[in-house]
Amino acid sequence: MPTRYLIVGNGAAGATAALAIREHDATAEIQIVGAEKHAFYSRPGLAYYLTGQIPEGALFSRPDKALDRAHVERTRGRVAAVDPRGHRVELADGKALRYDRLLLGVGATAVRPDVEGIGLEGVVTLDSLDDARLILKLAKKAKRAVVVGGGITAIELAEGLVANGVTTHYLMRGDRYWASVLDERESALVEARLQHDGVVLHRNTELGRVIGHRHRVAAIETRDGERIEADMLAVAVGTQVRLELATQIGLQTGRGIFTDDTLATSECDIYAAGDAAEVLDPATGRRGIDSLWSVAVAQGGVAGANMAGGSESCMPRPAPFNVTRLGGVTTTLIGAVGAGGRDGDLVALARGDSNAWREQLDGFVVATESGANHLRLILSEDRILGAVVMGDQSLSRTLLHVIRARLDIREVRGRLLEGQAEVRQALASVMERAAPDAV
Amino acid sequence: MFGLRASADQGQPDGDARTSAPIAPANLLARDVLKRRAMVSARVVADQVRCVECGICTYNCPLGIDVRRNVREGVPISDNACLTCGECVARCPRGTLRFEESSVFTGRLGEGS
Repeated sequence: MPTRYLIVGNGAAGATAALAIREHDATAEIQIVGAEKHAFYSRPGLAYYLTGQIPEGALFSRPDKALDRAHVERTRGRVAAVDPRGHRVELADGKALRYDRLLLGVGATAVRPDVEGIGLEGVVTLDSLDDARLILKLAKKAKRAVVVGGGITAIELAEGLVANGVTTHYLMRGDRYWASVLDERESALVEARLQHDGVVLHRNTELGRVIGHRHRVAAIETRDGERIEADMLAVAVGTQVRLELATQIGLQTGRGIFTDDTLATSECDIYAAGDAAEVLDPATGRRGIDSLWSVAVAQGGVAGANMAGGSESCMPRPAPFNVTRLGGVTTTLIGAVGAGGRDGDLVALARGDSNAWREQLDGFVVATESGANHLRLILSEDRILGAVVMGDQSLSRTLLHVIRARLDIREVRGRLLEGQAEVRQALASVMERAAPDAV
Repeated sequence: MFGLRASADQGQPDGDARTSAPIAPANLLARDVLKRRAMVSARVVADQVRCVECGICTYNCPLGIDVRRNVREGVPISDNACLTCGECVARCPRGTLRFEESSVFTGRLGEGS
């Protein structure tokens, strides 16, 4: 009898896992159950849909044909319960599905701060395509909006609203943007671009309550009692893993669903991957959680292979990496870049975020700048621990390689301290020594 | 000629075209030749790990090449009769795409200069 694989969640991890299973098991029965009515789409792309850079149709990155060819069955539905002993899943509509192996690729959902009026119409978050559609619909009529939160999503919301002609106020709890990851100069670069685009910045300002009129947002009041008129409030204070199913099954959980490095959970035949997985690194004994597309894709591949009998590991975890536009400035974050500031804007991990960026390893920091470009390297005695590359991206590919391969930089360490032009040559010689044929 | 120059400028927003002082027609021509040479001698290559499948590249390709799919499947974009106009390179918000010198053309172009 063919093995039955059931995947909960039609995101990057789930869809990748389905294809990986097919590669390893030609006769498998593979089924994805997803709550959304949409086909697979690019979640990070929602930011560009909001700004109008792409139409909605462009988000659907994997035509159904690809999954059809792999004979992956898709079902729209919400999983209500899992019976791990009986290897059965029950959907909200009462239908029951049998499985031999189950993958929880359930993702995470935006947290809403616990303030008065947070349930009013016009309070929005950015998790899904439906959220983005709602934001665009509301923005058509809205004149003013307030954004609270931090990380990448807050900026995406602010830029999306401004692009739709909405006067946008961005409240920061501290005195600068994303202080836990960016240094002061980097924050200033992003803030300047936001202001240039028309976003009104409010520093040291915290959301107090949302004031409604006929069940809709009419204004917000800050903790200090200032009132800002607004038709919309966009919230990006962090995400939380959808733990309901894991809890119901009795899986071990923390902030996410605990897995080992093969992405197996504490229950036989149940795996987790993507934003939902909190993965143990056997080398360090520590658990990590990421909200990154590339990590979700990689984990989907590993989980799929292992569900089909493989023994792949997603460790050692490569230095987490993301590249994004922060207020129009292309920014790459690699490895441990923690700037040490406190970030009150996020109560939890945000989308496009990694815990590892907040790690402050004992390193020496070099920051150089030329024009609108900014480069920050965090160096230990013998290697580069992390990097922030803003603007010109020609160094970021090399840096990603040097950091991930943990190449020895002792010979060029002095030159790395001397600025961008020297950095380029120094990195080239590091790479050449590591792999003379590859350069 | 101007049509070509315009599209090349769009492809490289950090280029000098819009910021430099007024230039003599002879220089304009020389620069145009340089641009064209760069376009012919380069090809678009992708850094898959940066891609989040947002689709800006595919949406903006004047030839309708599904750049995003090529990136995901690791198929060189030059396989699809790419004009190297640079629309996708300039617009990718994550720096996934870049021009890389193509060894096929560099030698031959070198002879003429």
